[in-house]
Amino acid sequence: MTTNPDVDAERLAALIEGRLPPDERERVLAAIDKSSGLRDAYADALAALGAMTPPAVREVPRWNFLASLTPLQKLEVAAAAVVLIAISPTVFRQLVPRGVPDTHDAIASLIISDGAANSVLNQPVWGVTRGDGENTLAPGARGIRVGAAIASYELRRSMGDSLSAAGALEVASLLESAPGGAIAANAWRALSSASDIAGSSVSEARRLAERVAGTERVRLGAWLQGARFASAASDTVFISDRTARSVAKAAIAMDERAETEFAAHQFEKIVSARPRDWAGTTTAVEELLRLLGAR
Amino acid sequence: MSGRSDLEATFLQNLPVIDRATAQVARRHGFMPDDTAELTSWVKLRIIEDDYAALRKFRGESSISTYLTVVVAMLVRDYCAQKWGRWRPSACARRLGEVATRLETLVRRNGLPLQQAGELLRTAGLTTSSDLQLSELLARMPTRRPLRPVEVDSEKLMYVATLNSADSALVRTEIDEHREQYRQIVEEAINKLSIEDRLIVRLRFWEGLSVADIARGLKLEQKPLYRRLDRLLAELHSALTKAGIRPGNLEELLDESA
Repeated sequence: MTTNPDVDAERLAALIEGRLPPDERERVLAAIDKSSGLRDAYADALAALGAMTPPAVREVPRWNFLASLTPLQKLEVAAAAVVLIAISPTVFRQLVPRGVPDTHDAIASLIISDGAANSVLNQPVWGVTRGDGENTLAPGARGIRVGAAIASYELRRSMGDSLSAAGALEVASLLESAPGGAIAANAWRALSSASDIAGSSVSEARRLAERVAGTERVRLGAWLQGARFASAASDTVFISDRTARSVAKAAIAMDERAETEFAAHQFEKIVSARPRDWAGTTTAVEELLRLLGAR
Repeated sequence: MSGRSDLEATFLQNLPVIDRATAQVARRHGFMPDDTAELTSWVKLRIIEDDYAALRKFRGESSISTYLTVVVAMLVRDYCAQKWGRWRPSACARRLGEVATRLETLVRRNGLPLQQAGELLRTAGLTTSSDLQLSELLARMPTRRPLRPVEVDSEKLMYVATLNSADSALVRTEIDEHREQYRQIVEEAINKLSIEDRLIVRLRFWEGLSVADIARGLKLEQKPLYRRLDRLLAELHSALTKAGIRPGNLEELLDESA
């Protein structure tokens, strides 16, 4: 085994576990810095341990300060909370992190030329999956793809594009191979064959899809696909700095891989740059979509 | 740790750790699933050989699972060095994901044509991308010279010779010179950082580790590490600008210098 006589496997393991005294830690770090072989092994071990370690469960802090209040004080605190929430819902929404927004209305109101929309629709981010891979999709990836397909369907429908029926079938195809997805798939197949579709039918079908494939994932996939359209249309309302932050955070939370984290940070950085780099935004969005929908 | 039966019991008890660690390290090195099985057998044999020498060396300064993970990482490195020299997947490939890492390994290390590599990846269920999409993915990864001389048949050499013109050779030389210049400047800038900062930059951009993994490995708080990385990048950016280089994308430049 390749070893540095001064720093062996156990020294590296002790470093990783934080068991070395400060001066010994410095010595081992210096050895890793000097030796590419040690550094490679150290990095591989770290990555392997990271992949093998389940994500830490965040402890929800218990707020015990209420226990020290008198009953009258507790009543006052409760009343104040109710008043705050009742009189300023907008302020409240501003304060609470929103997560990935529901894009249904936003996509329908995008102003985008037919040419720009078609250039996005004709460039799939993933390989062809029909009959070729739906069954091997991980649940997370499926949710993302369902969301993206729904966004494409909604854009086509808002443009009066007859190909929206094919879009609905694509959603159905992704859902029917998911456990418990038959009802949701049928709802989308019904949309593909209906001549006059009520908004409520689309909402219901979307809700069923979210229930099968995961609300957060479907919404994230839909937002990212919507962002492709918005970027093609240079729409600054759809892709705001604040939403980009929420989306990046959601992407990292859903997929712990280093490449996804990197892609999410790149995306956030590009969106916040001024003047806007729409080509860069498109690339960054597509990279995130590709990573999240490919697992 | 003493006694062959104790060592054997420890080995058997920690087989799942060895298997998982080998699988994870193999993925980082772009191994295909079939090759991982062969690698795993080799790793286990090396741990067992010489009366479980690897386990006999364990002093109890860390947990056995972390120790074995590091042992596996070192063994896999030895295995790869024996077979392919110092070749490792690029940081860029690692950032682009598993498919990219495996694709780069198949095409650039093993020398397979793209179509064959694509077929292998699709058959193994690792991707559904077309050859065109895979070629676009491959184009995003840096081209590196092989570290060992590779055998090329005379027919290929003749084909390459007809493609090469004096002009394209000159352009390639100029690009290589710039790349070498950038590499030296980046190295000088990085060497001015503290040891820990240098390691953070290398682990992030050369090895493609996540901030979470680096924080875990160096026992640092994760959140401040993001700010620290941004600061380090800003320092490197400033050093490069002072040297007269205006990098469009510093992370890509660091990757090129790996």
